[in-house]
Amino acid sequence: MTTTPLRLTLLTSLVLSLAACSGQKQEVAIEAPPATARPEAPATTTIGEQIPAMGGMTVPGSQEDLREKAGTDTVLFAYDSYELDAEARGVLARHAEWLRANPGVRVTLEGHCDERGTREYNLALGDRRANSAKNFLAAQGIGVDRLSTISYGKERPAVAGSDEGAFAQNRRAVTVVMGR
Amino acid sequence: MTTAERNWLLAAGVAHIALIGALSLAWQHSQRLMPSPTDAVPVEIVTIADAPRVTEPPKPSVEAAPQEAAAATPSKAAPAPEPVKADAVPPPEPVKPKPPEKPSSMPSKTAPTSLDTSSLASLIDKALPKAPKRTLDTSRLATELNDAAPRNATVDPRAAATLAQAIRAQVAPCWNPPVGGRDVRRMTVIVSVRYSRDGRVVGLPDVGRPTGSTAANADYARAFAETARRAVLRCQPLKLPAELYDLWSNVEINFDPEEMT
Amino acid sequence: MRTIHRLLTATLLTLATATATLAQPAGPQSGPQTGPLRVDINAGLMQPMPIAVPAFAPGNAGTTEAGTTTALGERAAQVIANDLRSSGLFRPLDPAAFTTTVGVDSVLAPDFAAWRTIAAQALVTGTVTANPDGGITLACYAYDVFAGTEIARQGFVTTAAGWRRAAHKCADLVYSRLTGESGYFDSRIVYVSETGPRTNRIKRLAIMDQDGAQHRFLTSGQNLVLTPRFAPGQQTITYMSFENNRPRVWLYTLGSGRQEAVGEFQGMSFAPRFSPDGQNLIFSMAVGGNTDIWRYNIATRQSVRLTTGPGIDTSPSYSPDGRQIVFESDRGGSQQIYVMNADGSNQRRISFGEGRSASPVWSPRGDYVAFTRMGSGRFGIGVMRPDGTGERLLTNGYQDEGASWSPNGRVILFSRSDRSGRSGLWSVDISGLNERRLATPLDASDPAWSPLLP
Repeated sequence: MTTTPLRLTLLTSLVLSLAACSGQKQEVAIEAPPATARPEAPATTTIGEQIPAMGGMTVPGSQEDLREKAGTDTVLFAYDSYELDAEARGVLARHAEWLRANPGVRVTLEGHCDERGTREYNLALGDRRANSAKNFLAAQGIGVDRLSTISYGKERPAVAGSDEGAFAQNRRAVTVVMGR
Repeated sequence: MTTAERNWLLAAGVAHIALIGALSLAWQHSQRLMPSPTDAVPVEIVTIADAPRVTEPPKPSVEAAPQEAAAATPSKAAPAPEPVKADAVPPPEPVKPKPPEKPSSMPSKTAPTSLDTSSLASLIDKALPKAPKRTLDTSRLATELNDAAPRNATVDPRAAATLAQAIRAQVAPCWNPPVGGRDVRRMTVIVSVRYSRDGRVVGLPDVGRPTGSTAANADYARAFAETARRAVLRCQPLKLPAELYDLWSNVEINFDPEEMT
Repeated sequence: MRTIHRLLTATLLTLATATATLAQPAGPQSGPQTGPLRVDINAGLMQPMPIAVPAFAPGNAGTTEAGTTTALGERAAQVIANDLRSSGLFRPLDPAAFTTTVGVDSVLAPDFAAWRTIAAQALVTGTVTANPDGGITLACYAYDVFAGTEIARQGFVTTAAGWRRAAHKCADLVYSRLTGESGYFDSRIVYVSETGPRTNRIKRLAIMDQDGAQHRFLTSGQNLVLTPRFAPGQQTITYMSFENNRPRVWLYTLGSGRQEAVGEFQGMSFAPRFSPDGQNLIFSMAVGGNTDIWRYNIATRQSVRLTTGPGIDTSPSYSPDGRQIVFESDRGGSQQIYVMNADGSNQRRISFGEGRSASPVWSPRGDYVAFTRMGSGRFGIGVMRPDGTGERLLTNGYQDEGASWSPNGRVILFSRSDRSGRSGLWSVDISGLNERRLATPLDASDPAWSPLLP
């Protein structure tokens, strides 16, 4: 059982992370659209952000759990490439293992690009990267009904910056836990 | 009569006949078409399908920094025309003995009465006189006279060339040809201008139809032609030697942007 | 014999004189006896034409919901002057330098001498009149100052709120009359307005007049939206949205604000454009890592696949006659530009320059394709003819992309980003001159220029 100060710390951090998360959903006013705007379902801009649970224990089958068990939820790619290098294959193999250990959990493979490409081509390249990861996992025996893909092109970089270091981190596929 | 004299007499006679023959040839004047003034268009009804509401005051666009393409510098003003001898001026004639100190293509004094086509050839050529042709070639005489007559029917080709340079130097800075139109690059247009003695344009210049104009590019052609007319109207009065007025009272300016593109 | 010689010479000279005299062309030249002097001018000055656009006069002392006719006359003149200046081909003169104003009585009879003194080469003037139905009539007149002649006139009747369009139409009249080009000022731009941190950009569709006025947002920013393009009829916009985490092509109807997803496709659909007749959409669809171009009939909802093969085929754009499509493909190993017939046949590569070429868009005049050229770590906007010849780079920025043509095929709009992640809309003339920034309230990308409004 944790001590009271530790609980307090965890509670505080929980509250703070709640505040941080809600700050991400920005309220943007529409300037007098010509007619009633079509009601849009509130959609988070990033998928699968989950709040670490209280108590310091990771919920099994969560994103955090995947990150812990596999080391990372992300694989990186070379410029203009969608090939998995050895390290990527190692990470994805661990993802496959985790998926076997958590049957029923579905994931979405997100494909991303760095900004050094045109907008539309990057959407297609992100799709290639997402499918590279998906195909690998399928080849590892994970049912395709558990694997979906989405490409964000260059729209959602992980890291802000216009240097090679940032670019390298943005060329990625992310395994995102969707739930059961 | 010596044989030489008879030959020269024959030659002179033939030349006379040829000259009279040339006179009777009618030459075609280039067709001059003044672009017709725009007819007044009746007021047009414009229906606006979507009437957007003005939600905020207009934001002026960022001012375009007018960019000048590498401006082709007009040719340098010609040096002041050489003081022409008095005898070069009055009733200008197509053929006239040149002042002796000029590099002469005229025949030597030994045969001053013959018609020297070499000097005519140099008149047709807008460049300064070339190497003289010593032989009398009458076969081209009619053509040469034809060509020479409506144009540089001046006495002194050097004066003419100098005047042309001076006019070019004074008018070219006022010419703003249209930028970027495709067909326009290959168009040329001739503007005919009458100048008064103080160098001012008399009336409106007469603008020919631009070369290379078609029905498809008629709008470009008209815009192009008007830039030429405007150049003439803007750059006046011209500063030109009054004693040569008769040479420049009527001018045909050929605007050709070829070198600019 | 000498005497005879002299006599003959004299005769010859006389005859020659007679020749010269009779050689006069029929016409205005009747004074001096010489033929005209021939002058050749082979060079001039490329510079914007100085033009005067004084405030339009009030045709009557009326007031509309958009203001008094006097106020509208002043504002219309400003809109017109701004339009002409923005083209880079005109230099509207500072009204402070005007030595005269144009009242109603002098609209038809300007004091040309006064305008000549400030070196205006053309004069634009007119009147604004309030109509009984609450609308306005804007009468527009253009004059050649040095020739002292009227060169164009036209009147425009519209609602009071539409006064800007009337002003733009007047600017188009003047512009086209003086350059020979068709106009482009009475048009709109739709684009993606951006704000927020680079890792979580908020993107919204927005629309404005081409001069930046009357700016409106079309979407809320809740969903990531990209690449909006106008339908030829201008009442609809096609774009791509990540709504519901399902990235695909949508249609937005401008009048009603209605948004509708296009088709029920297996994969991600994106990069949409309309066909010139407005009946079809072309776009890319990514399925299982492979991206191809599809055509979709909006009425029948039938789709036809136009490209196959494992490469990425995207950014399709119709020729204005609807017979061909230019697109980009990396089937050869790197992104390059291809052209095919509208039915997908005869696919052939047209770009062979250095580096990679992408995001092609066909000019409304049909004579050029604009595209993005990537090389040496930089992105620039270029043009080439549809057969691939005549390639020219017009801009060279860190990231210039997303070209879109003005309705007259003369100006290219594009998006420019810098290393700090800021982005904005810029335009450049097809000659490569007059690169300028368009003002937007926030950062901006993915611009699309509408056709000329009717």
